[in-house]
Amino acid sequence: MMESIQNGVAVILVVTGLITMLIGSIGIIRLPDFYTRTHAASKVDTVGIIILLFGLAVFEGWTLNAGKLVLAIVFVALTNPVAIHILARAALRFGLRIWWKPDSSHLQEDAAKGKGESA
Amino acid sequence: MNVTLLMHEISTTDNRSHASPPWSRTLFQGGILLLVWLLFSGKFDAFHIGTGVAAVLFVMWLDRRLGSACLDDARVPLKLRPLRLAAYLGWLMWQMILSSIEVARVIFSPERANPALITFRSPQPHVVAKVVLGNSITLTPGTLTLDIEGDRYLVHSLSEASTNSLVEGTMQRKVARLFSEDPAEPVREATIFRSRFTL
Repeated sequence: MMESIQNGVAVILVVTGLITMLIGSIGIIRLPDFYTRTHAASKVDTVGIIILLFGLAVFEGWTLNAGKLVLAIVFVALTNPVAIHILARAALRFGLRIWWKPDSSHLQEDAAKGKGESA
Repeated sequence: MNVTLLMHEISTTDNRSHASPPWSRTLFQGGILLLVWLLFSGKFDAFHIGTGVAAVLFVMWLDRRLGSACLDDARVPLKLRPLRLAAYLGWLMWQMILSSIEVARVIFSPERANPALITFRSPQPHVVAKVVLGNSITLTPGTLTLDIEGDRYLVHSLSEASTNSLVEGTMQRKVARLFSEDPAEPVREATIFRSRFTL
């Protein structure tokens, strides 16, 4: 009984992770420029891979392998954002254009929404 | 201020230090890496340990070549608060899930996409706090840390909702409180750019 619940939870988590990663991949095709694609490709993927690995850890139960999977989650969560940041910064320094929403160019919305105003 | 100018200003400053870390630290790092290798491999014959040593030496060489990332901040000692850290990680996971859903909605209806560049100053008590904040911003989908210069952050945001939640400054406040009892104002001078030329 316990085992079938455990397997069920694992399957649900793995499938959720896979669907999340699929959505991220669809985003690479659908979004307009490098920066927006980066949001979809690498970050939705990070969440997806964490859910997927967590599902595998649940499948393993309390074993050494599960511990390794949890460590893998920690490393993915720590290194992915750094890699994404470096890629995006390189793109920015290279001068890659940023895509803006076409009809917002005339809005000139530049509201300072910060709580403090002084420097 | 004009975004092009802003990007130019940020991209021309580069003050990373390229000094190699002290040998004691490299050796300490090597020891930890070897320990992790042994733990993960679980095999103690000559081949597996030999491969591990070779890999560890390679990583040590790479690390010395990269130079010090300078995570120590001489001004303030780093105090970790395990309970707050755990609470923060839990909150961060929840935010990641919420904002994944937001990005998924943008993916399925791209007309929701309304990219913005956001700059703000967020004085953080420690260099590690800066790293944690930068990483957290990138990890919550919808916002992406482009550059950090001093206490000034440049963030690309995918949609209106992501922009608003970043400018509210909840995350900045939480990160600052991880490291300091009485943090300075977490967000200052937040400015949102939604096209190439805005005042």
